[in-house]
Amino acid sequence: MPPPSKGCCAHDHDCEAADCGIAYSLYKHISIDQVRCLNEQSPGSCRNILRPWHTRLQPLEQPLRSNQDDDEQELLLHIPFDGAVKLKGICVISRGAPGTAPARMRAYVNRDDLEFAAVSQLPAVQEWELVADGDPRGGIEYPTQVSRFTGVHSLDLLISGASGGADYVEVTFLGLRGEFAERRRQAVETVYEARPVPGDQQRIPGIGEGPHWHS
Amino acid sequence: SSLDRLSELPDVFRRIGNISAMECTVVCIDNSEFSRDGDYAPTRFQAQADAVNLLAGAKTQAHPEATVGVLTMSGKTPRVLVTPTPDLGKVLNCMTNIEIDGECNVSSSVQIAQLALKHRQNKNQRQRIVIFVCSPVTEDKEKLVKIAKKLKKNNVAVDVVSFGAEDENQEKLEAFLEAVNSSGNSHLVTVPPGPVLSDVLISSPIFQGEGGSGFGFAGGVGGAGGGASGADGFEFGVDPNMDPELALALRVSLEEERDRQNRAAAAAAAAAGAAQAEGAGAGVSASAAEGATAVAGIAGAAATPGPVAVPGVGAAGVSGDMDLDEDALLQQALAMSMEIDNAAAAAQEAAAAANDVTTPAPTAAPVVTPGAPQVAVAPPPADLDVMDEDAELQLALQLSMQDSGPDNKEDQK
Repeated sequence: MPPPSKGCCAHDHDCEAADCGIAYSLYKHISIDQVRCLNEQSPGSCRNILRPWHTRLQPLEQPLRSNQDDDEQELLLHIPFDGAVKLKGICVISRGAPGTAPARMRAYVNRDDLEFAAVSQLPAVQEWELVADGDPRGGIEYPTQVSRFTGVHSLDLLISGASGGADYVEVTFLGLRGEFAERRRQAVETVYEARPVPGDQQRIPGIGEGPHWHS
Repeated sequence: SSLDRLSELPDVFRRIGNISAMECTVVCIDNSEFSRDGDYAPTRFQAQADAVNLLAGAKTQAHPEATVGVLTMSGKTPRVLVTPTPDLGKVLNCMTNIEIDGECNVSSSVQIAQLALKHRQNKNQRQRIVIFVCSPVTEDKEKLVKIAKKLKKNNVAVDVVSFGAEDENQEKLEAFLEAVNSSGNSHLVTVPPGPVLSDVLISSPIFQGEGGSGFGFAGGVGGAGGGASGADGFEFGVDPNMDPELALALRVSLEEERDRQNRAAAAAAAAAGAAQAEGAGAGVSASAAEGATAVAGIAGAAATPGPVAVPGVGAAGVSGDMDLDEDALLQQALAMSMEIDNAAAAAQEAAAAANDVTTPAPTAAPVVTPGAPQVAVAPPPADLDVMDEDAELQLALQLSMQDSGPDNKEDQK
């Protein structure tokens, strides 16, 4: 694969916005109102970074920033999906002030009870070292070990460590690439009957239709 | 294009999220020896308990899935009395069993509260700790700030109510609040001795919620005005959401009572004027007031100001009445004195009919009116609704004449 150069991304095809845009379409399947982030400076800014691919380079008024802290700069992002996702790649863009790009990212799958004390003891499903400059053009994709990321209903990302020694980390865009299967975790609506009643064919759909029914 | 529109979605959802804040709240109570102090009536601890009851009610009202838990800070170790629950009854119940003992340990209490919040059943709930402090905080400022930063990092909002030891704690608590506050989700309320603790809290941001989304009954307090008791947050002390029929019935009976008071006051003044015309003097005006009391004596705790007020009106004497609204009352008195002569016989019959009907009003508490023996035969509201205004006034006069005339008693029944 040729080294990435200006105007061309690291994907091994000639990246046109449409192609990549379709691939990075998992943002549509996120339950956006249940996305939450611990240690963010302005509540709700975590939702701003989950947006369409073609908007990835646009600046945000409220990017996702962690609270200022000299010791640890961490963000714990919880992303629930409204179906089952097979996650193949993650793209992280940080276009904030120099030194605020995060250095590490850890992913956890299908947990809804994580907070900082818990993640410090829990081994991550996968871990990445992020590029120091924050990938400002969005050309770099961090691949996942797909076998571990199938059937994902919720994703937790621990983004930490300001690479340039700043006292907060900032993320401008988060892109998720993969496949989506509509598999809602909700109650099934069923109709139970103690015994079949011939008059039910109006009330229960599907009864009375099909070749095996004798009228 | 529609793709562009998608990027606007996060804003919309953020706004919607703010309106209904579903919260899990853990209330930390100061039950140290300092809370025995009586500078907040009746004791600091009791004032705190009242405030906690109101707060728990408000939180569970604001959202059907909101939960409230209770933790005591003093004693050997801080103890969680109630794990966060949507059941208001459990919270109210546990408040009665708390003992006063020892000294507060704020830092471990807050850590335990944080644990209780971490293990909340519904992870979508926001986390909040409400701390009542009425004793000097022993931890130093740096330690408090460190705890606050940890809370902020884990998205826990904190409300602090400081009373009793406000001066000593002010600096520490302000530093704590500044460290834990994340865009205005945390508050510090300092209550000086004097006003009722619950009242001050009701109008504070702790009850008002975040971002202007006020809890339901804050408006009810403003609207309660008039006869409602001040300490209760709800009009008539009844939650309109929990028991709408009762709240409605109480409100209707209060309005009916007010109407009757107005009419009875006019009747008393008119009767007093008429009595003057008849030359019976102050005695009749007093009994006219009692008669009016019998007419007015209907229903409910809220009505007890009424009967007390009306005799005051009558007892103030004829001149007092006349001063209030001289011209109008004079006119009425003249009109009534004309009618009285004509309708004396009819009034007798009306009184006899009324006395036969003794069923009390369905919503009425037993009527407590001062003095008059005739009050036992208080006419029911159902009848009075049917009677028109003139008939009511005649009835009032009749009753007052019964008082002053013992001979008439044999005429009844």
